[in-house]
Amino acid sequence: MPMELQDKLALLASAARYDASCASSGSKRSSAGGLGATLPAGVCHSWTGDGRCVSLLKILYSNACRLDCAYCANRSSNDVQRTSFSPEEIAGLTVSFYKRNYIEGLFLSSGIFADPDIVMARLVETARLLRRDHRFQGYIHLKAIPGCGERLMREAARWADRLSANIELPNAASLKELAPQKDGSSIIGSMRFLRDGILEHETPPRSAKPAQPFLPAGQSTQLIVGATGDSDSSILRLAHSFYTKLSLKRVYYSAYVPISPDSRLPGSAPPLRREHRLYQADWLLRFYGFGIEDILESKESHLDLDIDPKVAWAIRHPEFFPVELQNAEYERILRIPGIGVVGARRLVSARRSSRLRVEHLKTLGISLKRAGYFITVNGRRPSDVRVRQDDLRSVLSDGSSTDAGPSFPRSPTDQAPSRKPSFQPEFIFD
Amino acid sequence: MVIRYSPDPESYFSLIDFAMRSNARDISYRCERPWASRTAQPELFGCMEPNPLYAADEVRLYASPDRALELRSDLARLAPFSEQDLLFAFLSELPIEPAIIEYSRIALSGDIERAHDETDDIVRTVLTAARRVSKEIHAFQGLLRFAETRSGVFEAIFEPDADVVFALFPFFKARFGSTRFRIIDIARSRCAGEPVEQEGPPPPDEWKSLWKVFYDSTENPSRLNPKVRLQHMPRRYWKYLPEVNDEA
Repeated sequence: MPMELQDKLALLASAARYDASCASSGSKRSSAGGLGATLPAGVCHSWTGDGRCVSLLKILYSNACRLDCAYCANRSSNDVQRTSFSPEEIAGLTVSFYKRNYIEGLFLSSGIFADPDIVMARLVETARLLRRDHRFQGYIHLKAIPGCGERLMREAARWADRLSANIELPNAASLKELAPQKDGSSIIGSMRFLRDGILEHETPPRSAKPAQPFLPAGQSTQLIVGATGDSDSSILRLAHSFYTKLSLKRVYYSAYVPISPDSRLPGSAPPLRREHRLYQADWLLRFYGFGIEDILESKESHLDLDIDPKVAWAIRHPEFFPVELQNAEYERILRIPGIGVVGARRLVSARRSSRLRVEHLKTLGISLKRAGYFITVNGRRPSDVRVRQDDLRSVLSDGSSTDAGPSFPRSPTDQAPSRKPSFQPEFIFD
Repeated sequence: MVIRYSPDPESYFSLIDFAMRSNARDISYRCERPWASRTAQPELFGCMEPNPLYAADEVRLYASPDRALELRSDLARLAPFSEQDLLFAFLSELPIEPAIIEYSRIALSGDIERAHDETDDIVRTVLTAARRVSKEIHAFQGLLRFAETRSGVFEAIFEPDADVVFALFPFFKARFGSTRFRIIDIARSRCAGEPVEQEGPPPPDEWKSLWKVFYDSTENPSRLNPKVRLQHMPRRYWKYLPEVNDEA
């Protein structure tokens, strides 16, 4: 009955809202006579009050859960109403929303209400119903329920575009402290299994290529920031390993939100800017050719809150600048603060036929307020940019860390629980 | 001299072809768009009713299908990157015909480097206009909202800044498959897809209410950021978005 469906939807959509691992993503799936298709890049359909893009129907299959992870709104010891969808209800919602162009597809997670295989089987059944019975060719993102078997994961990879399993914390000790029922190495094991499956599918075989895709949009995961004393460097080191060793497509960093009081958790959220810096560092790794050693060479355990990681690197390397824009390689130009990938590309295109001048830079999307300190344009420095090295930091800061939101601590280490040791080895894998 | 032409791609490419061949100077161009433009500077783009009375220095250019086709094939062959930019620059409805004609000349001349040089005023004018249109198309791929009419057609209504209703059609054709649909640009009285029928108001849609429930439930209340929301989704779009149109 519609009324019941409405209440379930309100509950199970709220329960899913803390999973950030679900941005609008691209995939390769053709329509072939079905309903819809996927695109190489994602589409944002709407934006909610928190400023985030809505692209998928993001819901839990059920918010009933046996686990009692300290940071989770759905933990078993929380007194909340528990309910569940049926696969048919989810399929109906997905297809109807899709036809109305409210969404690009489905993001389906779940509490662990039974044995992992049983939970995963429900998610897989929902995806299969959508693909087979409704001939749905839009985007499907399923959670890989930790502990479920390989057969189910393989079937999930057949129906879904992306699978994710949230590692949430960067090392076994933190996980043991806050989510003792979760097993980090099993999560990583399933990521490895899926990576191998994707690789096998991509490698041209002796026989004809199978017609079915295998996880065309790959895998992603999420790390919570600020629930423990774990440093930005341990988070980034793990993210880097996910990208390079397990070929994950995205890592998401989600600022911890205090939901239920627990002595193991800090009482307040970390500065939002900390999450922002992690995303900036992540972008440098993936799109700007930075190595992990570039980001972490300062030996600080946390990223600077006042200046972004690109500026931080530039200040540590005055010998690299100024860069001459008329002839420096694209990779060198990407290191300049104030020049993004788009600006760099336009610059490289423009200079093939023109002699660049400082006046051109604004039209190319380059901010002289930042880049001006690091460049020459055909030998000329932009005017008014004689700043001493020690002043660069304050000139290029994003503002004080106190304006990063309501009542946030000044430094990310302020709210680390005191009994946490200062260094923990991260999850090791190859 | 003022050359008037119709707001369709064939007339547009005929115009470019004609202007390139004739090499005449001191020409201005006016596209006869019968709808009022909703842009921020209406006095610039104007509401051009097709006017049978011409001044002494005004002429009308009619589409020449062969010439238009030949030009488009030449562009596709010699400068494939430019064809979409030229088309999108046209859809922008900006009065930049002189820059467009010059850009077309550059593209066909083989000066590929110059055609990608955004410090060049001509190139930048055309590419900026094209990019605006491209962004708008991508935005509406997300922002169009469909509802089922009494006759079972999925219908969406919107008021875009640029003339993008037909450019959006292929995306939604892939999405809907055999399901009948239409997109209505209500500002320009144009419709892509199934012809408009006379029918009563659409039936109540339970999925629309469910969508509002989902939208309200999915936001993270500890991270409210209305400023960022408005940046991505300006209020002028809210009229046709069921999730926010009671706040519009």
